[in-house]
Amino acid sequence: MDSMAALQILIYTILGTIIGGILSMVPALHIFNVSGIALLIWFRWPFLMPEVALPAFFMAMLVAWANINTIPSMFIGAPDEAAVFVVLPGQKYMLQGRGYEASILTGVGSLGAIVMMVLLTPFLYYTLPFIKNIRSQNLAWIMLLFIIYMLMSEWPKGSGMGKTVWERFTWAWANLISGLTTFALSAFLGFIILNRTMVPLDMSFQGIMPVFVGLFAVAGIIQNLVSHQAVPPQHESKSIDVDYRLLGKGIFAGTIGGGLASIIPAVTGGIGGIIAGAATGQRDDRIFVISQGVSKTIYYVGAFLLFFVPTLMLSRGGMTIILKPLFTPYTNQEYFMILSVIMISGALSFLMMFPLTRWTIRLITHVDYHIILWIALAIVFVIVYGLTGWMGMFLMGVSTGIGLIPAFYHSRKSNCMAVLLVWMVLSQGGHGPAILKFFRLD
Amino acid sequence: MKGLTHFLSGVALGSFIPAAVRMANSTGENSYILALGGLFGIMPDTLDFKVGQFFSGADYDVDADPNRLDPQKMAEQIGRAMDDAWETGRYVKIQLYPIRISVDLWRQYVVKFDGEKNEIVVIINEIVNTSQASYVGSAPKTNRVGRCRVKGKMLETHGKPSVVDIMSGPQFGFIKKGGVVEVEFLPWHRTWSHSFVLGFILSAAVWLIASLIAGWDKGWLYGLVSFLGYSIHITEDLTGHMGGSLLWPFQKDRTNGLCLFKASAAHANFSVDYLAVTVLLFNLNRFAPKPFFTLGTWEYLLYVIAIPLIIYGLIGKFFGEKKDVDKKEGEISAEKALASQQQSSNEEMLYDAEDAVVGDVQR
Amino acid sequence: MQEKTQPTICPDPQKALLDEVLCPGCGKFVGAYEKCPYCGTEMKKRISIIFFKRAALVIAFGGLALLWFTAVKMKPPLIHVSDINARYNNAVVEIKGMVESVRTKGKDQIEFDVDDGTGSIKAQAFRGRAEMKKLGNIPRAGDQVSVIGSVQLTEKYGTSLMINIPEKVKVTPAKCEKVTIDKVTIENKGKLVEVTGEIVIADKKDIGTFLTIGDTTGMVEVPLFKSDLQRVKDNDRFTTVGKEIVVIGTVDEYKGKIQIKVRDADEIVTLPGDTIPSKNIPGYAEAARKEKEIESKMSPNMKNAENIAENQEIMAY
Repeated sequence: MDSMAALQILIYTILGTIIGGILSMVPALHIFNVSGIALLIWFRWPFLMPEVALPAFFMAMLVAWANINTIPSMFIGAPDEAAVFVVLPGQKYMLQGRGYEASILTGVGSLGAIVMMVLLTPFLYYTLPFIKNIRSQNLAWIMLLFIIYMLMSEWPKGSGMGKTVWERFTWAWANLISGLTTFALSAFLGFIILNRTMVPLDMSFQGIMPVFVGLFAVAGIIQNLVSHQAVPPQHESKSIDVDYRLLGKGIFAGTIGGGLASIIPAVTGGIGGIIAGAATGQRDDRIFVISQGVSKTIYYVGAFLLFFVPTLMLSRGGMTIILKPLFTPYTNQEYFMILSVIMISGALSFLMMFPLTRWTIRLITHVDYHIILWIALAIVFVIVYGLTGWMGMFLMGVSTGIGLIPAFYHSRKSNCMAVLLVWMVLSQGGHGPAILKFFRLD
Repeated sequence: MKGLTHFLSGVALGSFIPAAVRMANSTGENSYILALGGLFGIMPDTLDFKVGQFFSGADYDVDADPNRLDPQKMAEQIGRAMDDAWETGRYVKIQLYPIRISVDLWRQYVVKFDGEKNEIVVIINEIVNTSQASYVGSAPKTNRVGRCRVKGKMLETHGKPSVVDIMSGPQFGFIKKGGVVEVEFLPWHRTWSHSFVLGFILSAAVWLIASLIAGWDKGWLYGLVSFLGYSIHITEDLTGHMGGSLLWPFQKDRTNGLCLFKASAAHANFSVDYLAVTVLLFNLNRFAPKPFFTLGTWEYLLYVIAIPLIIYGLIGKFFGEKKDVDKKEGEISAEKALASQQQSSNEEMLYDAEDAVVGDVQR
Repeated sequence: MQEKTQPTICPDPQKALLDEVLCPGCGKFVGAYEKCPYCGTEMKKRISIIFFKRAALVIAFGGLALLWFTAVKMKPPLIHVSDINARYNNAVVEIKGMVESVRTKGKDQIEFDVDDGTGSIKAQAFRGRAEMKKLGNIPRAGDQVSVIGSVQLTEKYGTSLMINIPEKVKVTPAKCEKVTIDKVTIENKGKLVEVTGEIVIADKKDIGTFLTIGDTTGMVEVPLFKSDLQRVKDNDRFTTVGKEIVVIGTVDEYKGKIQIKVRDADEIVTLPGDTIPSKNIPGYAEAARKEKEIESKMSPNMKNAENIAENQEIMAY
């Protein structure tokens, strides 16, 4: 790589971090939508960015987004599929006037994740290829394991009120049934959207975007719009309430969670984080918040990083899918280039978190956050309509309905991930044609 | 042990069957057979927590009013149930409910069966959120402890106070045995569901169904994997305090566990999880049509399992929690409340004694 | 890092709550429930939440039903290969064209190249070959096909069409014309032909065997690659000089030389008799000389290996 190319990469890394960081502040806007739009712009005006800087720019945007998007997720409550679990503890912190601290805790987690990615390089090069090969030959039932654990580990909320057995049983099972309903509807939605192009053909690369926006972002916004929560004054703490032991535990749990999510298809950082939390026995809110920060970063950034490991070239994650048609990394040099992009962008976006969190706090304490949510909703509508038209809006509407079920009927939002998981398990197991025939989608 | 540990152990155990691994491989039949190990690994607790507990009706309920907290009344309600068991000789169950204050706030309380003093103690603690983080200064300033002495001699086998806070409360069973009333924690848990016999029956059903679908030559493998998953759960649970009704319906009593470590012990659970995952990878590789690595059993055991676990243990030993992590925050708070009550009671007694002396002198 | 100045202070729960989430009957917290679980009082004030709860269900179930109905009625659009660009990634489409070549891999994998006149695309199924065999829709070179699949684009592997449902491959077998070798010309490039000829040259190379067959009208080259030969059990039968064979394949051109690209080596039939006298094959003498040269150039090792194989065959009889 010549010095000119290196300079271009550096410039576009900084640019990607700044653009990604600012756009991450828009609630409900997903990095994959932003990337889609960025790619469309690049197709139209390729002179805007040299091809050599393309991976660096998108990686920098991804890193900034993984770090900074937690701020609107926590304060305004419009999470993506990986952040659904961090919203509740984040909002708890906010209600205690400690939103700033919670935001920095996730940022620390993201920073820890980047350190872990650097440290794990030998593992990625020498051990992961074996695990990947074993995984590839056993993918169908391994993904089924995640489904089983997700469904089986959702316990009834409460031991059931009522005088009779039946009353208590139905009372306690109400949330479980809601979870199962969400799961079944999401799975069915997945059968349809993964086997029919419902959006305009030349927007197929963003085909599932409206569904994810509906399931997670729009449903989150509506849930928050109908709630009447006042934001208490927030304290801008000079330090964070953790010690190095807690930090270590959070990073450890998050790395396992994010690692799982980055190598197993359709498993998100949130689900991975929950499993890792159960495995490592973490109950502390602070560890949870840190580990979710780690998990989210490894899920998004780590999954894309795996594409650059020459001995592995694992194609996982939304960003890989979006960019795979445009370039393929082959050399160690490209891996270390992208690792340096991650480090630079990670450090920059962590520094950006401080002012951005402060501004967000000022914004939500001075402006009714319902207004912010309405604006966010309008932006999402414009993007979804602009990219995918009325069909995309329709898909988003249906997905929102499904995404609202766990919100209003007290079940896990991760059940919505059945939209990808179930079809993948069935098609990997060779049952895809039979299922499609059954639902007349063949 | 925890649900995830049982789940992973079930899958790992199933992977010791070479034919099952080959069936699960995509170059083989792409079968879901090994997932059955996980499903049945978590099944006994699922039966308890999703089904069994609702059928265990209670004779008494402790459902305190969050606006009018009265620990004495709560202790007396539990005491009445225990006396009922002592006087009538029948099996009496009492259900404790959590005290919910708002969407994310709960009033924590602790119930202690004090065998020495033969009394039930209820301590009202702080308000906690759904993550069980307590809010400093939210414990009641007065009327925090309630006590009730029971008629019969109590025998408490659970060994620790019960902290009730979020989502659901425990159920206790009282039964007169000999000259004592035995206190059973969660009488519906680890009974019929934690039985090898039930595991066998359920696995036989799987065998039958799988045979009808996949053929009789393969169906038994599905049953075997299911049974192994179910059995490893019951066996792992024996490492804790509470055992199980291992041979229900032939033996209905719940045996005690080996008390090696608590079911929620983080390090023990993580170690078993790690062991399960690494063993699973080893088996998936060695039974695959074309193995991807050729590390021998002993080398794998040393480099991939033993050394990392030793490092983990050492990190835990030198950098882990130094305080007694086994105690929940609620227990510690309740102990402080009791100590404080004891101190004020001692001071009161001292004052009474001094007063008496002063009185005597005055007289 | 530890800060002790910020203890978690208890918010006043009663102040934090609106009246509508407390039961008017018993005063306990009931949240979004419509009926108090403690005393059974109906929570009349929770209309907004109830509305959204109902609306969510109606939208989810109703919307999904409508979506399914639309999807069932919707047929994958027919597109041209040349239309595909990076924005088409994951699009489920139909492609119609002629099969150029077919390859099988592993236990159940199949891939074939389809040319629709605007370009060529690789259609592939990681599993489903056995199913396709059962359905009788495994295409052969020269066949017309209609394939429904999802577009997959990678910089590394290029563009392909992933077949998810084997039934979605519709094959119209190509018309095969019986011709003499003089009709195998550049004008007929791409046509599927059946030719009967005698093996004049069998040039064994590392990548396969290059046959030259001849009839009374001329001679043409028939390359048989290793991958073709490996799938045929007794492949020696049609690599023996002097034998007459029937070949089905498409007329093709390589480096300006006309050849017949065999559709399926399994289809090559060896005829028992000698219907084409060698002397009537134009240019036979020169070809025979060339064949001798090739044989003499064959390394002693190869010859040795062949002799051993021959001996073993004899001993087996």
